[in-house]
Parts: sequence; C-alpha cells; structure tokens
Amino acid sequence: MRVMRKYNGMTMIAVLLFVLSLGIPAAVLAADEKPALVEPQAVVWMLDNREKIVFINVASNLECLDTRIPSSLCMECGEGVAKAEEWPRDRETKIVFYDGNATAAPGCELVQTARTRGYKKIYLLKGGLTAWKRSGFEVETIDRIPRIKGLAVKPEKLKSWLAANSSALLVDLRRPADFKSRSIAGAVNVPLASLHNTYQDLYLDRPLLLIDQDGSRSFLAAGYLHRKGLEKLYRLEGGMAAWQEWNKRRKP
Amino acid sequence: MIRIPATAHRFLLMLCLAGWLLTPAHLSLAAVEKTKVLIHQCQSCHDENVHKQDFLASAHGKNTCVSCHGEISDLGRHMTGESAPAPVNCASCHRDIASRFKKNVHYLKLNFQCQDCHHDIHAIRKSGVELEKAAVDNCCQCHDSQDYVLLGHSGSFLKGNADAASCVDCHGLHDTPYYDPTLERDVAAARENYTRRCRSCHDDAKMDKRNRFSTQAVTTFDDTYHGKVFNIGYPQRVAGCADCHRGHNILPRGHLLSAMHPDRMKEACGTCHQGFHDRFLSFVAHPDPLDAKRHPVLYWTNAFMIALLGGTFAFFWLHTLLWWWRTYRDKCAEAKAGFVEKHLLPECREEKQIQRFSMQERIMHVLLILSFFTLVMTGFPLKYYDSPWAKIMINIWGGAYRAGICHRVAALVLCGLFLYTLWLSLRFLFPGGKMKGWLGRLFGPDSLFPNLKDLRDVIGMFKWFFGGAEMPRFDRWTYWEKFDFFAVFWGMTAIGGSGFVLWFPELASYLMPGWMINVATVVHSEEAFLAAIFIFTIHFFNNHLVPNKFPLEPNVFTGRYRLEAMRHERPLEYERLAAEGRLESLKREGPGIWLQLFSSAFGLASLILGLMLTVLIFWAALFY
Repeated sequence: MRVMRKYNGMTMIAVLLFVLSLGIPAAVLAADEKPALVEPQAVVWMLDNREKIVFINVASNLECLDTRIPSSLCMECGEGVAKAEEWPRDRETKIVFYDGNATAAPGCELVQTARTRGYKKIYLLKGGLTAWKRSGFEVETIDRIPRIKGLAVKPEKLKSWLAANSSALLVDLRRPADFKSRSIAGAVNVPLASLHNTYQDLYLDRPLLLIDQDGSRSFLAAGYLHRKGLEKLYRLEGGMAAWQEWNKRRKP
Repeated sequence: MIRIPATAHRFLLMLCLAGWLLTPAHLSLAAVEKTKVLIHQCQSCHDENVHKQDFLASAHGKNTCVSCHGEISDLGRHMTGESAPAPVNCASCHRDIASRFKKNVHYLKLNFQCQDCHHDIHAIRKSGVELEKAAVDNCCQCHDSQDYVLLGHSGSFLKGNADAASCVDCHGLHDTPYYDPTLERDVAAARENYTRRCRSCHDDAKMDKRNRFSTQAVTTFDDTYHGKVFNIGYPQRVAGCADCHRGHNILPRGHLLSAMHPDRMKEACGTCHQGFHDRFLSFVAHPDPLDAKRHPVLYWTNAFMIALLGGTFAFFWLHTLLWWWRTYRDKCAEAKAGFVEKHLLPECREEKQIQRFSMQERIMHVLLILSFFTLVMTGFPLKYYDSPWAKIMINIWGGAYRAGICHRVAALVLCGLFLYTLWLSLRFLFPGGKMKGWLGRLFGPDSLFPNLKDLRDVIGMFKWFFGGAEMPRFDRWTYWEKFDFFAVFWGMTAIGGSGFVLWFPELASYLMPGWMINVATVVHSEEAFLAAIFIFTIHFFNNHLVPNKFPLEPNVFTGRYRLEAMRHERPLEYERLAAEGRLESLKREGPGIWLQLFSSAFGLASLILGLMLTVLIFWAALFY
C-alpha cells in the first residue's frame, strides 16, 4: 500500500510537472501572440451577423473626434489604464483596434490592456481607418477641424527654407518613442495626442513647421492650431518618411 | 480676439431680429419670391460682402441660404444660438462629385471635405475654360509647387499651352486616386493609371504634331521588355513612364533638374535595378530599330535578322512547296495504279524493324518538344502582346508572372539538352579520347555535319522536283535534317545568349554595354519567330506532312522503322550497313501497341498544336 501511495504521489507530481511544462510555454506564447488582422469587409460581415463589436480608435483624440468609425471609443495607445469605465463589460465582445492610415501597431499598450482585462477576441483593422473608408463604409464626425491652406516644404528644400525663416520652430508631432528613435536636428517634440494641452506653449509669432510620420497628420494639426489662433503654419511634405527617403537617396 | 459679453451678444441679436421685422422685405413677405426673402432675412445679420453681393454673383447665387443650411428652420432659435447649424452636405446636390470624392486620396487619408479646398464657398465662381488653371492654383495652396509649376508640363500649361498637362490631367479632379504603396496590387494600379494618362496625350498624333514631339516615345517603349510586360497586364515588376521620368520634373534631357539628365540616370535606373555596371546606363528605353543614325548597331542587327528570316523562309518554303507538288503528283499516279500505302495499315509487333533512334535520343526529342512548346506559348504572347489571343494564352499559364517562370524553366531544360548534345557530339568525334580520324568522322556518313554530298543532294533534289532526275539517294542524315540540327545550334546560341542577357541585364552590363540589351531584345524576338515558324512549317512538312508520311512519321518516338522504308528513304545507309554486316544487329521487334498509341497521340497533338500556333502567330504578325 505504501509503495502504491508513494507511486501515486510521484505520478501526481510528474503529471503536474508535465502539465506545468506545457502550460508555461503556452502562457508565454499567449502573451506574445499577435492579435488577428481583419479586413473591413469581414468586420462589416460580423456586424451584419449581429456580433458584439467595439471599435477602439487608437489615434490621437483630435483625430478620433475628427473622423472615426461610428460609435468608436477614442483611446490613444498610451491610455492603456485610463477610461476603465468605457471598456465593454462582456469579455466575449470583439475588440477591433484601428489607427488612422495604417494598421494599429500590435505593440500598442491598449492591445495588452485588452488582453489583461480578459478580452479573448482582439483584432487589428487592416489598413486602419483609410482602408475602412476605401471599402466604402461610413464614418462619423464629432468635432471636425477645418483644414487650412498650409504650404508644404519638401525635404530637399528644408535647408533653404530654414535659412529664409531663421526664427522657425520645427514641431515634431509624433509619439515620444518615435521622436527619440530619429528626429530632425533642432526639432521639438509636441505629440499630437497632447496638442490640445500643449498648444499654448507654442510661439504665436514664429513660423512653425509641423512634422509627422507621413505627412497626413500635419494637416489636421495645422487646422487645429489655426483654430487656436496660430497663423504661420507650414508642413513638412511627406513627413519623416519622406525626409528619411531623401536622406537615403542623398547618401547612397 | 475681442470678447463680447453674453448680455451684449443677446442684445445685438435682438436688435437684428427687430431690424429684420421692420424691413420692407419682411412686410411684403407674401408678395416677394421666397428665395429673395430668405436671403434678405439671413443677410440682415450676415451682412458681409461674401454673404451678399459675392454670394449672389457666385455659382450658388440662385439658391437660398437654406438650400445648403437646410436645418435652420426656426430663425428665432438660430439667432439666439439655441440651434447650431450642422455641417453642409454638398452631396445632396453634387452627388456625382461626392461619390467620386469618396475615392479621393484627400478624403481617404486626410479626411478632407469640400470646404477644405473650396474655402471661399460663398463666393465661388464657375471656372469655365479656366477650370484647370483654377485647379492648379488650388493644388498649389498646399503642395510645394516650385519645381513643377515653373517647369515641365505645368510651366508650359501656365504659359497658355492648353495641350500641356495640368495637375488634374494626371491626378484627376475630384477622383485623385489613393494607392497604398505597401500593396503590390496598388503599386500596379498606380503604374497602370499614370502610364495610361501619359499615353492619352503622347499617343495622340495631332497633339504630338502641334507640340513638336513624336508618338514614337510610346510605340518604341511598347517594343521593349518594359513595354511588352506592362502591356500584357503585369505592370507590377516593370517600369511605367513615371518610374523613370519621375512624375513632375518632365524636362528636356539636357536640363539639370531632369530625371533623364545623364548625371541622374543612375538614380533613375537604380529605382528598380541594383548592382549594375555604369555601362548599363547606355540602355535605350525608347529604341527605334529603324533609325540607323541614332541606333546603328540595332538597325543593322534588325536588318540582318530580317534578311536571315527572309532568306531561310524563301529557300525552305519554296523547297517545301516544290517537294509537296512533286510528291503529290507521284502519289496521284500511284493511286490511279491501285497502289495501297503500307504505312496506313496497323504495324505488327512481329515484324522486324530497324533501330534509328536510341531511347536516350527519343527522350531528348520529347523533352525538346515539351520545352519548345512551353517557350513558344509563354514567349509569343509577350511578343504579340496586343493580339487578341495574347492575354488568353498568358492566363492559361496563370498570368504573366507564372508564364515567366515557366519560360525560364523551359529555357534551362533546353540549355541542358543543348549542352548534353554538345557533349555527345564531342564523344562522337573523339570516342574514348581518341583524336585520330576525327576529320573522317566529322565528314563521314554518320555525322550531322554538312559535306559536299549535301550540296549535290540539294541540287539533285531541285532537279527531281522538276522531273529532271531521280530523287537523290540519301545516307543516314539528309541535308534538311542536318539543317534542322544546326539551326538548333545557331538558334540556341542566338536565342539562349540573348535570353540570358534579358534575364540578367545587370550582370550582363559587366560584360557588354547597356545598348546590347536592346540588341538582345531584337535578336531574341526575331530568332524566336524564325525558330517557331521554321519548326511548325518546314520541319513539320519535311518530316511528317510530306504526302508519303502524312500525317505523322512516328520513328522519332518509336525509335524504329520498316526495312523497306529505310531502303526507300535512305538507300545508301541500307547498302552501307548491309555491306558492313551490321543490318542484323540493328533489327528490333516492331513497336508495341502502347508505344504506337503514345507516338501517335503525342506526335499528332504536337503537330496540331504547332499548326494552331502558326495560325495565331501569322494572325498577330500580319494584323497587329
């Protein structure tokens, strides 16, 4: 009997260890697992099937209020912990994250937050809001920012433009992490996400050159700053992507 | 900004309301046209010029204010600020424009609305003939315009040349398309769209004449590898117009800012091609093989290839026709005499036959047929990209990309056969490394190398055609079989060499100048025509369709043929083998039923396919 008990106990421990050894990599894999990409048509198909879906716009608040998929939640990637009350209670609800012109980054903190909150069905909208609109689906506007005529400066002309506008300030609208990884010398980081709080720090009388990732967000920022009374607004055409491309071509 | 206290604001609004109530317009409300009344109602507060004279003179002047601001139904609530006006929905009238704008890059990427470009919407005038100019002005409000407004197309346009392209001619007005550079299908669609727009002017003879440039720019591009692959429907991997000319700075080649300036050509080619030698840059993207002054080597290569094709076909088609005519007359005479051809009867396995081709040679021929047909059916749709059957045939292979892969795989198979045949030829000449007697073997009866007897046979054959002599007596290989063999050798050198240059153009630039790629294109294309038509008309006739063999001579698949056929067709070989006592050692059993079935099915299918391709090729060559 004793032998049997000992045997049973050892078997139990072995089984336990075996299960744990399976479970740990599975848990690690689950943590690293990237959310599924989903096409706009597939999401609409889910909606037509009356599935519970919550859209989360991870672009800046200004962009989200300007245009979003109807009834989306506006949460910027950095706001993982905030707005707890806005998350749906039903953990079976499908969460679809989307950005402006591109697929939301899988590394966005909100995705991790959704996972830790227990949501199992997490998706990233392929191509972001642009792909949604391109597929012909409707969007809504809460607080539209009228765009203004804002002359663009091409990367190859930046040097001469700066010489002609010596008091100009280069305003980099990207996220701090992107700014840290690469930026134009002399630029200051004023993330678009917090522009509604920080615009007062900008100079009213100096020309501002707005820089974003691909030239698509600086229009909105220029419109917003114009609404707040700033006048001398310029944009870097094509944003940092064009700047880097030009640098690459210049130094093969 | 001046801040008005809330009480003062309310007082001003009340004053406006009172003013409006006292206006004669209000008093004669029922008598006056509704449009005027409403405008006056609004204008009593919105009394700036832009809402009065400017608006009345504008394109929308015949509308009322509520035509656009329709939700303002309660003027009192509006004036006290209780109901804020909703955004104007221009699509309620401009439906067509609105639906096109839904595909506009400014809407999709930047969320632009109508008023973001049409800022002065209350004073907007119809542009009429000045529409394009107004559009250029509008685009340049945001886009850095210096490089293409002062120069190139738009520079010319702004100087008053209505033919020159403005922004909207290339990018559209309200339907400026959006292409995602990360999607291959979008890259292809963008290239297709912009190249089509360039062609719409540069392929227009009248416009080209007015502006003193040539439509040759389009036609000569179409004849290059870039143009052919583009036109067959696979623009993903080849250059369209804007890939080299870079969209905006369309300037004369000598201009420093032109993308085509010699100093910037490396950058232009480097967009797609990497790892090339500088001499690669002498490649001509718009070559004219008929222009001897600008492209002398190309001109003379083209002339040589045409002469080669003309000479070969003139001789062999005449040879074939005369042969057919002579044999037909003989067969008619035999039929009248009641002679029944034995080769039409089923072959019997028990009958002993003579071995002509080894198993290895038969397999090589089958591989040759398969690779040749693959090459023809994947290459000719590209050569005749504008013929009606080209796209159908390329789609049989699953599109141009897969057809390209099949073409290259078949080319490698053919190259393997070519090299192996070279090896066999060396072994034939120098068996076991033995040098002695190689000249005798080279000109001997078992060799495929032409000799003086072949020349005599050619003359003898022509005499026979006209009834002046008996048909020449042949040995193992006739002169037309030797020509077939050497045609493949010449063809492989020309078509294979040029094919590899086209396959690896960057690598080729380390061995030859870039213009040799143009030469290779001409050689590859013309030689392909020669090879295909020679095989499908001359080789097919000489070996299969000649009346005494019609419809198929299967010995290249079965490997053996009847003794009397040998005695009749190759009497010298028969006599030689009999004298040497080797005839018995070459006797084999007749082919089995399955081998006969395969030979007939495969052989006839190849013949029919080849003849069908001949019709398609001539159709395309003559009419497209």
